[in-house]
Amino acid sequence: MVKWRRQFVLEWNHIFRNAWLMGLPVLYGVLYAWSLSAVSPLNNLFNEAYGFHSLVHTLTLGITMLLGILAIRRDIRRPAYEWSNGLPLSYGTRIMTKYAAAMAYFTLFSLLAAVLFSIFSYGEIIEPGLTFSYSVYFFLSYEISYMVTLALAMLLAVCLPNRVVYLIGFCAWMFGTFFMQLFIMERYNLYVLGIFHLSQLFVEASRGYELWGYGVSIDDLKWSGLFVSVFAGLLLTTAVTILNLLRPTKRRVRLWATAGLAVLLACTAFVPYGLLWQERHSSLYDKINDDTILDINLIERKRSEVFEVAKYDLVLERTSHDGLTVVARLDIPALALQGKEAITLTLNRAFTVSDIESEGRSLSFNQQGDLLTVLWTGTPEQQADSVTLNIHYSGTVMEYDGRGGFYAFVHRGLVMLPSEFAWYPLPGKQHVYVKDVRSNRLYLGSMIKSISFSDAEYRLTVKGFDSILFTSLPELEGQGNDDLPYAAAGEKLQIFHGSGKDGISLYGGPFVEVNDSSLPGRIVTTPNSRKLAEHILKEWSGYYHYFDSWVTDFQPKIHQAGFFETGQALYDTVENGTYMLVSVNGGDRGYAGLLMNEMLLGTREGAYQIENTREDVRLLLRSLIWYVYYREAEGLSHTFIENGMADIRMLSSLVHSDSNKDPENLGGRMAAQVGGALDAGKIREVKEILNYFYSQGLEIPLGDSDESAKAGKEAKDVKDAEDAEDAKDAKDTKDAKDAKDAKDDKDAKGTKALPISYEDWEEEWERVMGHENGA
Amino acid sequence: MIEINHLYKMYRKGHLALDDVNLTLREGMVGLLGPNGAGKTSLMRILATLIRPSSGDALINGISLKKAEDIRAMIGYLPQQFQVYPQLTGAEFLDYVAVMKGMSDSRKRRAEISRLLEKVNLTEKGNKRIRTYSGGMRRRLGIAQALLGSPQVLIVDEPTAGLDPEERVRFRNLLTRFSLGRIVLLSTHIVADIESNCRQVAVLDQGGVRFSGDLAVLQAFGEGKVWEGIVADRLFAELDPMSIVSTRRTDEGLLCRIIAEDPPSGMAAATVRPTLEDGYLALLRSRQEEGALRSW
Repeated sequence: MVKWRRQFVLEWNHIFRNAWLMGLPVLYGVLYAWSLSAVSPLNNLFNEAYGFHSLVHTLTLGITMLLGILAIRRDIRRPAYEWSNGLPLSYGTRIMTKYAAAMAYFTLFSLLAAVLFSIFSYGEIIEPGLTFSYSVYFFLSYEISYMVTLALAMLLAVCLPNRVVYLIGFCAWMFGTFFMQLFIMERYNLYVLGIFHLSQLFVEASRGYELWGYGVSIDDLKWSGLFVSVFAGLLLTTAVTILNLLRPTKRRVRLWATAGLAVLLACTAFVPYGLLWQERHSSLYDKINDDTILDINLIERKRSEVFEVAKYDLVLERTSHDGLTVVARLDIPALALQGKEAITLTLNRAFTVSDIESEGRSLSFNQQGDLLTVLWTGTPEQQADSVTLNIHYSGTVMEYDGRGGFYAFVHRGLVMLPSEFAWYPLPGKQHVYVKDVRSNRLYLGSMIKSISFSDAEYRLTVKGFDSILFTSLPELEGQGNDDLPYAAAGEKLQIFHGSGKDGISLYGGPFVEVNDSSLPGRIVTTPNSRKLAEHILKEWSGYYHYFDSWVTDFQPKIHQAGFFETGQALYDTVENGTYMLVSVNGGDRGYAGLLMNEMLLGTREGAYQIENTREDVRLLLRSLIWYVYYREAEGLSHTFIENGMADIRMLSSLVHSDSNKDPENLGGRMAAQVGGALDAGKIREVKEILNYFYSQGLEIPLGDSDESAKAGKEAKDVKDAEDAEDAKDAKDTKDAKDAKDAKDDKDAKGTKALPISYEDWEEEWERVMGHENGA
Repeated sequence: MIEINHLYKMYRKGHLALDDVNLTLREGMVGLLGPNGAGKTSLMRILATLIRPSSGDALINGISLKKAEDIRAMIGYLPQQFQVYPQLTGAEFLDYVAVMKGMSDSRKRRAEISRLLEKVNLTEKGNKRIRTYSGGMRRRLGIAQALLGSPQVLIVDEPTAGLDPEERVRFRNLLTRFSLGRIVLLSTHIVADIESNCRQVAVLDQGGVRFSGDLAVLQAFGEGKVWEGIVADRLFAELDPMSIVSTRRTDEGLLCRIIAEDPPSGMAAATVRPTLEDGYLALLRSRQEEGALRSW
């Protein structure tokens, strides 16, 4: 031990008395501190820090590679230092002390990475426990990367006593980091090889996000960390073995036994990681090879016909090892099932159905792939108003997407269960997955063809989760569980209740909620995005108060937003009045405007189906509402707006008209009309006109093209007959409320989302403004 | 005592560095002579347990080379090339080596280091960084590290290379004193290093032992083979250059000292008393002639 200590001191002094080497951590610390201090409060500190580490940490591995080689070449396998080989000192001691001293040096970088992050995170008022776990994550990632890189460098130097080792070391560093990720892992989707990546902090990786980042990959990190540590030991053992083969020793048996043990340990340490990926790949390729999953080129784009489910009552419980057991109670109107001997539901294959019963009677069922067929002929419910099915199923969800991320998961309190994953039974036969045979890839079916959901009432009870859960449904506050048969006394429950037409997604994580009492909306996000959320909420509130002051029939289309910046396979979407913003990527980029636009005007998903602007000016009307905002609230001039200086996303239909769809530049013409009226002080009249059309509905939802065309024609017929009356009513009373009633009537007749023609606009304009102000 | 039995060393490319070396080296200072490439360094490195022999073995104080760790604990070694970490001071370096040699008592260690620094005339430079040392100083430091811990066997490979004459004498004396009760194996191709201090000498040539024994016996190899005479300048060029040991200009011409079985032709030469170097060269020459005859 005395020798070990003295040798360590020698190696330590070689490094820590070197001014150049000691300058590097200082440089790193200054650079890192400067980088963190430059992060805007509106940016996510964790994500920004990860971005810094993924690049700079990888660069520091170059220093590791160099120092590892130098540590060996300093006195090992050098004729001038052969005297040291004559000392009664084992190579094991020499290698390990070199390694330990170098690791002590690189721990300075790791500590800086963790401590500086903690300091800056403290400034962000993040929960200490969370900050600690992020800091530990960075620290451990650094340490593991340094461990394996240093060991590799030392082995290379032992194997190659020539100076060419510097070149080989450089190549190993580049290959083991950037090249491996960009040209092997990502190009060929060989993410399993991430274990051999020298850096634990990949560039542009899904784990580089605060939300569902490293937390979801914790098993990867745990098992790869274990393997990499043991593998570093194997590299060092190999180095010692090689050196001992060059120099006589009486401990050859012990030497080979140690080397064998190191190999055995490395192989053993690989097993958990290998099994983890074997499971993922087998699940993925089972689906790709499954004939029931259609190829991307074969799937019909037409929305599936589904029967109605009036009510869902879902009880979801997380059991040990992230298992899920679900009891799904579905109330299906008997009418919807009339004449059917079996009903088909769609439930993800990750779940196994154990029992289906209706009114106490077990029903036969067949679960094949993602389809669940329930035979129910002859059951008495046929005669009732509705049929109730109780479906019991269980399973685990960790759905690898084949590209380093996940489609869905429930993992240690982190939850991502998108509705389109069919984690609860969906009506009808739907495509949960599609595949691309040519590229051997699997996608969620919703990426190609929208999943059809029933407009139903939902009650979702979730238990067994420690984290905060979030859905598009309102949560029942202060809900006791005493009256719930499935809850133990004192058990933590979250209950969500409401109606929805877009299905129900369930998300869980370290969420925080940001509210503004004057705004009927909230934002749920991650702790490091809180300031951004607060900023956006304030801005959103400003918009809201402006529009609420004059849009008479203002019915908020969204009531909350989720700012879920993540690298997982999730996309911006609106679900039952919840705006899920996944592409929040640092700083404020007009998200408040997007939220307000959605809240005020609803969806415009079907806008691409408008072929001729003259026949449907809804897009222009939506923009005109914002045009009025920019003119009145922001005080911008028409020219300023025309030149695209305002938020172009809201005004693009006006200032960048599509010459194919709008050859007459109606957008420009309408903007000029409104602009002129505003200049003439007729803002009240302009608002009246816009209110009129707003009351008619400016949402442009996505619909099946054939069906929507048909529906559009039928709706047009109804509209033609009723418009005159509606207009007359509106004209007579000049009350937009009546117009809304008329619209409600039409909605009741299935005439939602009707086109508004340019002639309608002209007519209304003329009605309000009089002939002299017409177009 | 070092007993070397049938030692062979063949390197990767088939070069036979040691060819059935058998030697018995007793206490005292032992010189290992041989021309460049004779296998001296290979033999030293094997005895210092730096490399493994291809076959054969050696016993150092009864311990086989196979027990390398035990051998290392009892030897001091100074290789032909010697460099030290330049940022350390001489005293720090010796302290490090002392600990590695098992000297755990820091007080004793300091005393021993101080004594050795004085012996190698480095007391004043002991606390200076090694990067400031001259080549000779570094060499002396190398000797000091080899002597640390009073090893039973000291193996020094051409230790006087790069030293000035005064240092060389001082060095020889140091080694001679140290060799009392121990074995000091000194490899060199400079006969003068051995002449004054060694009790025993072994001559290696082309991997084999050409001679092993007392200095006087080696010297006697030159009896009747060393000729001295004056030769005219024009005839000097006709002499076999390999046989000329030395030349000195005189008023009459060049006084040449030649090693040859027969008197050199064209000059008036007489046999003279051989030196150790003459005996060594005569031995090597006879080996070369044998080789030439064999190839003929």
